[in-house]
Amino acid sequence: MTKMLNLAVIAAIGAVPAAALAQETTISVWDEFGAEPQRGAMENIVALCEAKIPGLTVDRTTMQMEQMQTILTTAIQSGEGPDVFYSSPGWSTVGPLIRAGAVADLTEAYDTRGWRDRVQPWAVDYVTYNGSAWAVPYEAEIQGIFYHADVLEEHGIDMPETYDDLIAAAEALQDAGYEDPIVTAARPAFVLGWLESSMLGATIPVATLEEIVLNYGSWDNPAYHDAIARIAELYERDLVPSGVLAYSYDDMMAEFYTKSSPMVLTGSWIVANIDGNFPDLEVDYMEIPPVEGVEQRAPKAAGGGFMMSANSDKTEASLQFLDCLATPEAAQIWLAEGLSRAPVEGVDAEAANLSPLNQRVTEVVNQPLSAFNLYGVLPAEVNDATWNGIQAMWAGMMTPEELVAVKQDAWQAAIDAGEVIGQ
Amino acid sequence: MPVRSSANKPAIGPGPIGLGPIPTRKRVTMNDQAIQGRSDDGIVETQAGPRSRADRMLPYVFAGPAFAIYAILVILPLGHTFLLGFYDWSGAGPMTFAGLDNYIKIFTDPITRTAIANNLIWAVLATIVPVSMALLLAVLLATHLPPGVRLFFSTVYYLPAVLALAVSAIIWGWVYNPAWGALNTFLGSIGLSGLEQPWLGDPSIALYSVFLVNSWAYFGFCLIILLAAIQNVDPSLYDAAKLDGANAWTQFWHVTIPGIRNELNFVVLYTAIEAFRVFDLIFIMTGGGPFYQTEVIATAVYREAFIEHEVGYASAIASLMTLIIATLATVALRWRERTAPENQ
Repeated sequence: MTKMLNLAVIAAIGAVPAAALAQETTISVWDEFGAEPQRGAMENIVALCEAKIPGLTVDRTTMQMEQMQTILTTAIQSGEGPDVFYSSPGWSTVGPLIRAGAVADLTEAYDTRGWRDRVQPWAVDYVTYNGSAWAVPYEAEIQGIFYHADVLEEHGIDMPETYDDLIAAAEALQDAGYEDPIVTAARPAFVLGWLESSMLGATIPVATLEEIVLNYGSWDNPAYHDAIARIAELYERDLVPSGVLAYSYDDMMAEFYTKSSPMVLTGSWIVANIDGNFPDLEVDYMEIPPVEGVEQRAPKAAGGGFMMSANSDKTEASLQFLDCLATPEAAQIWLAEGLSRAPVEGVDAEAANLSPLNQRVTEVVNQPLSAFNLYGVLPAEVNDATWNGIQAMWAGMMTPEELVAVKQDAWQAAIDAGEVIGQ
Repeated sequence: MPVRSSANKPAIGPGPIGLGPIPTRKRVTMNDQAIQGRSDDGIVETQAGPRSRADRMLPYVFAGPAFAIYAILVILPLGHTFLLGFYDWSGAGPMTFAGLDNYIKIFTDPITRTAIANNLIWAVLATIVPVSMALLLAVLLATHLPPGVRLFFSTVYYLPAVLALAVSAIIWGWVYNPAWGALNTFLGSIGLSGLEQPWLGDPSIALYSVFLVNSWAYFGFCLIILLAAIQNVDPSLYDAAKLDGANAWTQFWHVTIPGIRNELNFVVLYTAIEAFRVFDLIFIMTGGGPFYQTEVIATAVYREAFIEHEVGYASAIASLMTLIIATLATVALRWRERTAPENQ
């Protein structure tokens, strides 16, 4: 009932352009930008929005991502939640909240406030489930391999263009004395999700993935078997650390930053850290290069987005704040000061004076094509089963075939329970 | 102070190792004291007499507020958690009644079964390893070292217990790091590189690697309690035992252990309960992995509730954990009551 009422309110006010609020309104906003450079950038964006929307005051609370995911559900359920919150808009995270009617449907706002013209289409797709848009995406990410370009150059290794080139490059680095040419980690388990998504982007045509993910197809197919076999092969051929199952994310990044491993499988969120703390490193980015017959695509994701609580009683103020966020002006601050990419059109990357790495990443993010980011589209229990299954496979406790079967079983159970996108 | 009652003569019991009869003490309760008098020689005497209704209600009046708070903060949430276990619920939105499905799933879900098995292993080891280490060291410190040295070592041994477990977990994470950790580096430096391991990444040893950290962090707590208990054992009992020809082992078994029985019971019970509450070390050091091989009940509850959004199922597992802990506590307390000296 509350959700219906909110939808009616949104529909009624949807056509109203951003303007002064009828009365002084303070909205509560929860986000995860408590550290520089994003903290300062977000403060400036809030100041911009408060100046543009007379009567609006934003009361921000910052907390870490995991803390947010832990308490958000409870807070919203109890009616004590924020008006606007920043969270991963992936189905794994917000799917249960959306199915419970706790997140406001922003489709009307997208249609009537011009957000569809301002937010990049792939990102709108990413936050659209079951025909409705649920977030203003504010962290465009790509996953893939970040590598020390100077190390590859020193050993005469060209940037790999095919998957076989990548394996050859890794083996050449191994011969040159790099024991672990590619580093990844197993803690938390979702780090292995970046590997899985990137591998699928390189080895499975997007049409095949769409058939599985969007039309409830089966993971028990030759293409996915092949992708999992390649993940198994990375470990069997010692191209990733033999102790990888003990590696945390921090261990992984330490290996990379110290050049013990020339290549790391991660995502574009490391760029701000490299620019801020390791500006002398010559780091570059590449997608896992594709196998023959597959088009090169990076798994892009809206790593985070601003959403509105369905039971917020400050709907207009919240929508105007979201509207302000989705302007090129705010997104420009986010890029130039926060070194983060909001998928908003009209941002001038050159004016932001970005590092070469950040420019490269921003260029890839702005490409229209994207592979599937599985964190974003599959239910949590399916991903959890898969990523822990990769650990088991590398530990010799599960064969690749068994892993595929585990994933398919979890997928079928989620379909039967009505927990996948489209249900 | 011995209590002389018109109804109860001082009881006489056998000594622990044939040292002759030892007078037992009658426990004086508040109700006893309410009707006690004091004789001219200062010995407390009890008087038989009717108690008013108000007197009988007085304990309940005192206990009432505390019980109300306990009920609101503990019993009601426990009951609510137990009921949630009967529902299919993601943590938000409507709940669907699921009957016993969640409780049955606990015993059919291989991951939860692994978590329970790991927790049982953890509990058994936790009540043996750190407690035994602490008992051994406490005996050595109490009987072989001068007070100043004893204080120094007991402080040193207790230091790890001062650290937050989260800090211990991070420090030991560095020690265990497979690439540059101190342990593997040390093993390599003394020519034992064959023993180098991914301590937290090998499913067959990861649980024990974390458990070692738990023992390191926890045994100091046991040590302090047991050391204090040993120091309170009447030294004349040891003298008597020596006169009877008791060797060190006999003294330990027949004097020390009976003398510290209450404290030892407490330490074992508390350790067993803590073992079923273990969460932070595992969550930080392994996250329950690899492949759930270090998962315990508490981490399974967290994963189901906050990662997989299966709050109903998580509640069922949490209820099981509560039941295990409550059963352990009840059994231990009943056992202690039955074996207490005044009941023999």
